[in-house]
Amino acid sequence: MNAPLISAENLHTYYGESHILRGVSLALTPGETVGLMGRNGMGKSTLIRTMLGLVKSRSGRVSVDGTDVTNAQPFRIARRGIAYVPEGRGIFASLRTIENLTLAERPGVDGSRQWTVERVLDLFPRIRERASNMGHQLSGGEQQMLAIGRALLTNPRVLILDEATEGLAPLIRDEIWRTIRLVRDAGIATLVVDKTVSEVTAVADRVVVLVKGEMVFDGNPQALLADQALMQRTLGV
Amino acid sequence: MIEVPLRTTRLLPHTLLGRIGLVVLAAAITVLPWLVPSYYAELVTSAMIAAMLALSMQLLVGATGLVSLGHGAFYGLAAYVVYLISPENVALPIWITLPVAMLVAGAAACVVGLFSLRTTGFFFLMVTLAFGQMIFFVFHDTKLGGGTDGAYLTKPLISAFGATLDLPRKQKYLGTYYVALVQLVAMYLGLAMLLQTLFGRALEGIRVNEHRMRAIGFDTFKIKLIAFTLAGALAGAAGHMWALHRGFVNPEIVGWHQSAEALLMILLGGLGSLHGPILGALALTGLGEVAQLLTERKLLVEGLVILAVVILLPRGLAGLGSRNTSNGAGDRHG
Repeated sequence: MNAPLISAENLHTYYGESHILRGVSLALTPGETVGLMGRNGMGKSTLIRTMLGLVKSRSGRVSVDGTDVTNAQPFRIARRGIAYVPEGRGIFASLRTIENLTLAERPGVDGSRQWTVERVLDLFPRIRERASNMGHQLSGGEQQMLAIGRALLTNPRVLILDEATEGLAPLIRDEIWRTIRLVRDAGIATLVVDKTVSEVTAVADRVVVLVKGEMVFDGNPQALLADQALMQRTLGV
Repeated sequence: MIEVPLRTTRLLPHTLLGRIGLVVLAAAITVLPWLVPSYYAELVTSAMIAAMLALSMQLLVGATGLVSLGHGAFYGLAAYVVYLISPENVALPIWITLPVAMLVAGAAACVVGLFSLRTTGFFFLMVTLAFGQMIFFVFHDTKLGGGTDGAYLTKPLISAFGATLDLPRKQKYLGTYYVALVQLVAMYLGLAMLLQTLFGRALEGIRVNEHRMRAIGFDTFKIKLIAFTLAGALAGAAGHMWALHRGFVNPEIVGWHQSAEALLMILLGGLGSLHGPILGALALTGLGEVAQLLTERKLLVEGLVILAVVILLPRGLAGLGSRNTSNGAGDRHG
């Protein structure tokens, strides 16, 4: 097995007194696509935010390329090639679409510039059309594409998408899933948080399921799909 | 590459009319001293100095979202630097006093920023206030600061590249006036250019959501520290100008209400534009003058007018005549 790009070991994270993550471990190897599933409030976003340094963990370890980055400054983790598309997209409303992109553009850890503004605009023709619009003038789907484009412009090795298709029209959802596949095929390790079982299991190499801050399943998508009882119990589907 | 207008940012005028308005304002200020008695010219000089302070503060408040109550201290510190480096009865040229004042103010801001920028919001306000008052008490009622009453200094000579502007005593105020105007315009244009760079965009990103900027990979602390230091140095230029204008320093100019007054000017002129603080400074100075004619309760009138402006013109004077009601800060709560 490849050495993991980013890995979390035995993370315990609290919000005040609430024990949110109860010893979660998760690793992504180069090029791997992992689906992270679970119902609302099970700690999916907290896990991601802890791995990114946006939330401090009380114990456990996060490492990138084997280097300990536990509770490091988020920008240091990001600069190691970990890109994040936050839930709610996080577009800068008072910047133009194109500025949202140019702001993030930088070479990857290995100095590569695979992703350029031009390539992102090729990937999302709708964004090109709206390049000079302000961020807040974009539709939800366009904002999502912009957020993904912005993450790609950091030339990442890992892309983390938190609820990237939530609240979007079906056609736009399809486009986002197409993009996720394209990112996967480009060899970027991807962590996808989503509730659409059919899509996640179709795109992911591996699926993990969180229940109340603990990992209750970690295996290939077929194994999850085959276990109807587990799906019913943990995902409610 | 695609053609996209990248040449405007939120804080700069978006319409041709707005830009023409600023040029007309600058032209009007340029010819003004020839049309009015010297008293009013000196009043405008004071307003321009206040505008420089407010403008330097807008780099923190409007551009980066940092509200500091220590900013005035760098202004006062710079004025004191002029006093401290000027030997008695010897006028130094401004090409020495200005850079030294800016350097000291910038260095002080850098040190204060190193500590205060680790906090945010209310705590940042309080920590900057505390540092500002520390600087205040260096000069308040101390030998160094010339005691409670302050001290006179020899005004620096308006001199550069070996040439000195030597005006008769009665016209000295004109020299000061234009030095202030040139610096104000230079500061505005410099900041306008700065805001259009990636650095300026990063400040905007921090203003809207600092966490997000860190998640994209920006060392936001470093960026904020650069902005804080630069703003301090620019406040230093304003403080230097104060010393040049008044030839006098007293502890009051280092106190926290300098910051509060600059904030008021920004609020009055408009948080959402770079020229807002200039309008605010001119308006507040003018308002103070009118209020003084009307009543002895000058601050009461000022307060009421400011209250009215905040209620009626949430985007300040700079928002007057602008049809777009969105202030561009839309996703602050998003």
